[in-house]
Amino acid sequence: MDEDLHDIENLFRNGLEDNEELPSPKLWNNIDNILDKNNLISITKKYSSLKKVAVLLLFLLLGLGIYELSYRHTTEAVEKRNNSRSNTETINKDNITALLPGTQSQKKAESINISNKAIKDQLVLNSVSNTLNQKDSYNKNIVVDNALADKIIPVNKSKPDNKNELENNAGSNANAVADNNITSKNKQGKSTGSSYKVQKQNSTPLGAEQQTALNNDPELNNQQTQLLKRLNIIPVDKIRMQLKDSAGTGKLLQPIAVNKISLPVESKNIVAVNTKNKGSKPSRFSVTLFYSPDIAWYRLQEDKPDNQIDNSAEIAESEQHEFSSTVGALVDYNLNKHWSLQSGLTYSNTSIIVLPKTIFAQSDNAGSIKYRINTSSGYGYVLPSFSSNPIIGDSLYAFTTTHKLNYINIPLALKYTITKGKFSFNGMAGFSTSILTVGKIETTVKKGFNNESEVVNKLLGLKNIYFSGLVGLGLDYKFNKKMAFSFAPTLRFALNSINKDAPVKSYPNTFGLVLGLKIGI
Amino acid sequence: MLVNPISTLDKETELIQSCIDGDRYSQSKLYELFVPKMFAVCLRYSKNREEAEEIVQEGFVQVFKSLRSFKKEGSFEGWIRKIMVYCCIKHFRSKAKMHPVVNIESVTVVEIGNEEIISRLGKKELLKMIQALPPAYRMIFNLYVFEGMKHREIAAQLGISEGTSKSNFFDAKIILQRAVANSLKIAK
Repeated sequence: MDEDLHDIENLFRNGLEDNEELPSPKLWNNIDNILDKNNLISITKKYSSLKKVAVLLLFLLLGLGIYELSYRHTTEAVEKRNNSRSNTETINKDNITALLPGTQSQKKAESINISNKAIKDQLVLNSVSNTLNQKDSYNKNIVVDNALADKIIPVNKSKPDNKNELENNAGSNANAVADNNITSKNKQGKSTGSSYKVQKQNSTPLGAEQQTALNNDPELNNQQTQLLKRLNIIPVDKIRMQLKDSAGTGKLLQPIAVNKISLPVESKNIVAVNTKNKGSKPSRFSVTLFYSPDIAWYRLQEDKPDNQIDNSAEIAESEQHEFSSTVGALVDYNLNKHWSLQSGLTYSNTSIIVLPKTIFAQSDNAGSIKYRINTSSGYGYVLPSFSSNPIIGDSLYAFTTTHKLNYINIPLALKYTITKGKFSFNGMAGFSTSILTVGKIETTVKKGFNNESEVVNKLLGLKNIYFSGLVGLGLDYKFNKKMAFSFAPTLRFALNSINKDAPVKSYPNTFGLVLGLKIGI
Repeated sequence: MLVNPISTLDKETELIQSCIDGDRYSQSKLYELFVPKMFAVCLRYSKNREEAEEIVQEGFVQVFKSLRSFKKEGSFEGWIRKIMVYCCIKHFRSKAKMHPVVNIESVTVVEIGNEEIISRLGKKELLKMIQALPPAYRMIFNLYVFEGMKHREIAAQLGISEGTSKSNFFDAKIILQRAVANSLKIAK
């Protein structure tokens, strides 16, 4: 009988080994249609990443747009305030102080008191050349803003001889400067009466006898001009001027050192504002303590299509994600007003239920025969006491199985923030490194009338580290200067799979609603 | 007529590359080249032609999707065949719950009609005998006889015990032997 059966094997092997049959012709059409559909899906998938990038860029663009709008509003408000304040500024002759030459004493001192908070007390007082009149020069730092500079006009233009009309070398890119040409009279030993006055509402003259000789300084470069323009300040530094004493002695004013110019009121203002700024300067660091309930799901991808162990569709059907969450602390480092870097330490836990199924005995990595439980994350072996010596292929019924994964995450993200009153809106993008801390399986197995709960503390086939991308939007509400409530929906998507050597690769994704308390350090 | 193996290999490589690039004409050529053998394989694992066509269709879609992973280390035909067998196992596993346990004594052997006998026992007749086997028996018989797998491997693949595999294989052989005997009797 055995011999006959053996012949049966050979009979069939020899008879059918090289058999060839043709299927119906419509089979290729079916395959063709399926391939078309698959192509469409793959194209959609291919563009999905582009879509993600596009959405991200859209957010950034939107943020930039909102920033621009808010910046313009702020600038306009500041300009309006500047204008209104410049109209009320006062000029005090007594505050201009100068030392006369020859006698080495102060002949006349005049100071200009300018109260202008809008320019943030960054008024330029700078050099005066020593080239005018060969020997006599006047070195003075002038504190002036565009509003004030507008008021400086030449009184006596009737005598144009030896008069140099000086313009700020910023040229056309400094409209304010162009509007403020300062005419100087430069003639040794002569007072031609060309003078300047600071025009206030009622055009108060600034010293009747004072003459100013100004030369254009070519050293004023574009960078300076642009900087000053940005600051809304007239670059009147390095203006050469020649002053004569108001008594009409014809003597030129002695050059004085910059540090000897007394502008008491201005200095006080600067000090006061600076002190205030120093005190209110926000810290660059802030910490957010948060809790985030997460919606988690896996993207499954078959790495070895001809594998005979796992199937992504079957896994997807047989597994359900339970509640997941993340807690931790995030540290923000402000690079500037809008941009900041975010990092920190978070702890996430994910729980997945595997529906009841039959598990089979297989040889484990050490060669022992145990019952293998396959999950999307990895696998584990159980050996219940009632079936401690299984042979390969023996089966058990596993009731609902839960596998739990805990990770420590270290995120690093770039954040863009726009502040509007007590609210701050932000968008962020970055990546996160996740380090596996716990991977375990809990199940109850049954065979006949025997039940036993099993816990596998080490889920096999998991990578210790995986990386994920982060994108999110956030909203902060400030309670006070130090504390704020933070809400930030954040999407985390795995960049690489969490399992290794698995026929089906798992890419965990989570959408978390971060709720936290932000504290300025 | 001698066929240059290098040029055949080159052509096969070119064909594979064109298929990877998504050239539908090349894909149809590859299909035409391998479908007769693969369909024959699937017929052995299936109950009928319809089921075999279903598996071949799934198998070729899988082949075109996975072409990039073919490492050119072994035979391309062998690789395709492996995918087809995998699809057969998958198909079997998906319907495994519906397969009743077979009592060998109750098995009735399909009698082969005279008109189907070609040269006493032709290929079609043998194929019909295999197709007439219960699914689990058919699967185990195929994996053991045609794929050369060991019972331990079959058990692991199908999620059954090695003993079950051996037992089913033995039963399958008895059924086939009876079927062959009956056919020969009829043929006389």
